[in-house]
Amino acid sequence: MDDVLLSVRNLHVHYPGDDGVSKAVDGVSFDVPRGGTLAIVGESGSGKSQTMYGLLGLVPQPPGRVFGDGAIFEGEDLLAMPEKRRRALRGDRIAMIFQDSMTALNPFLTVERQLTEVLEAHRGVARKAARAEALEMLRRVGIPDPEGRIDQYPHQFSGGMRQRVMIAMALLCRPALLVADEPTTALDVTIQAQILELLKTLQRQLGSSTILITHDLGVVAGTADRVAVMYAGRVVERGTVHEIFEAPRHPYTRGLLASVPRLDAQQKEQLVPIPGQPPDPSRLPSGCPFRARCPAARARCAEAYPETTRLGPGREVSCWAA
Amino acid sequence: MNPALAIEEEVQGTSLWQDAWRRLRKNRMAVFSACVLAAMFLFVVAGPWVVPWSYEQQDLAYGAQGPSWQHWFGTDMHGRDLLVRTMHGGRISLLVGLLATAVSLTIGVVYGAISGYFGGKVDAILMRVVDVLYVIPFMFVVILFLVLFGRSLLLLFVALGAVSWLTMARIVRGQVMSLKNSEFVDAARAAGVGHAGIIFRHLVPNALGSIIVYATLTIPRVMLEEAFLSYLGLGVQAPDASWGLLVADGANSMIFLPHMLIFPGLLLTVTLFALNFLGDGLRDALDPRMKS
Repeated sequence: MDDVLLSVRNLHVHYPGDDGVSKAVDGVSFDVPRGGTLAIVGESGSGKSQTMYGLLGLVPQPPGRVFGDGAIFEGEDLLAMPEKRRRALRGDRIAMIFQDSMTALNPFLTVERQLTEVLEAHRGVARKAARAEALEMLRRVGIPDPEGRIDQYPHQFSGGMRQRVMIAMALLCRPALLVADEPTTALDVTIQAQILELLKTLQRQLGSSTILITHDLGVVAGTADRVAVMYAGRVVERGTVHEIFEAPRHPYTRGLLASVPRLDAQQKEQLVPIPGQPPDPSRLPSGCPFRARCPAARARCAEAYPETTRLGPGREVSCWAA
Repeated sequence: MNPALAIEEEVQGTSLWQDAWRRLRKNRMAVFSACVLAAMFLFVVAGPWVVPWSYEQQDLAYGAQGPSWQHWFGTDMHGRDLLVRTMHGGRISLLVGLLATAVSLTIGVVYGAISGYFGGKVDAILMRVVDVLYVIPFMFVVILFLVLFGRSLLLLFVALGAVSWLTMARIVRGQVMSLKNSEFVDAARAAGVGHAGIIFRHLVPNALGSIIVYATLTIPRVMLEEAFLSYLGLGVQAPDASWGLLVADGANSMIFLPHMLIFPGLLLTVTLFALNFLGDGLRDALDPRMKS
């Protein structure tokens, strides 16, 4: 990995509570290649979104606590910089797309206002110029008749069109890094494909990098270059898409892959779900948090969290059995 | 109908305000109240120009007479035409209601929104201040104000507004607290929008329903308070007039000159009722759960 845009080391997001600290993110490290796509994969509650919230400074502090050994983005440490600097980066150099465009767009503001607001915050451009830029971006994300639609409210758009508006909003300032938090989960399958295709095209045109947060391995296979698999607030395995899909090392990654239907599978092959539930982040068990659900669990797994084994450049796994 | 036209109309959709407006129009009581209020405004604003008397013009020869063709509402003890005095009093009363509500709206919304948005220590301190102010008998404060700084209409507006923002602040704070965890607030923050932009562009407009409703209900309350103060002799002073003052005058001579109480009292009552009904109607109309 010669050219890294964002390098996160040992990131934690903790929420102190009455019954102990809830460790939503507990020592996460990953790299985002410049111009490439990193997929962060995991179940609900594995800390995927919290990782990004922590990096972007969207975790309310207090009560939350965000700390780590660094998150170097274009030579600056996201964790050490003052909030003012982070706010200047947000929406400008790093932009985010949210899962549910129905709730992530303000129902009381027209699409025009939500788009121009971003430009006003970062570029200080006049409203009229901002409107022209917003129209151009709406056209680019494939919204038909942008002039007629820009003054409408979010609820007057369909789900797919709203997600396009979200994408336009995120790309207005040509960010170097785009964080897409489950961008297609709330959409129909046909629309999902369109949106993913659009994201890929725009990423190529603008030369930006993407962090794709998802629980959908099908989406990962089609879009990502590199993958980080998260479980209970930690990255358990990292590698290229090829490595993760063809030679998964962590039992959790294997479990995830076994629970996804594949076109090239034998007809009689059954989908195997992973038994049990992810642990409560405020009551993590000793040792490896996955051991209760793990087919390869052994005595050692209860004693200590597995050391991270480096298998190659950008290829790591944290498992005693791997 | 032309099918192309039909599609055109479908695409138009309805905005939140259009929805609210549609529901409000279905509420007969609210519509009727709005009409009554509009008529009342016209009456008190345009009336004095039409009536040939002025509110301070005395005609001692005609003093204290009941309704007649010349003086529809009769005259008071100083021979002033009660019709024009009622109109003039209405101007003052409505003005007090509107301006004091505007003052309470401004302070209450800003204060409540800041408190709710920042939460934590800021919220605790700001809300304890509100709690303490709640405990102080505010009529006493207004009376103190008016005695200390002398009676003036402007002071009356400010004093009434300044004591009636507390509930507004609490309402706005509650709304903002429940809204600030919405995803669109996260999205705005992720887009780099600052605190002021989030509070006043994203949160306050979303709380506007409750704000408008409470404001409509504040107007009649402030008008009543003004009437109360004038009744005590601390509000508006003759020859100026307000509905409260006219009612107070009327009450002093209600046995001999009932018309002096009936006319201003009736108008005040009707206006208060109309404002309350309109406020209720707006509350129902702006509640999206009422969508039927």
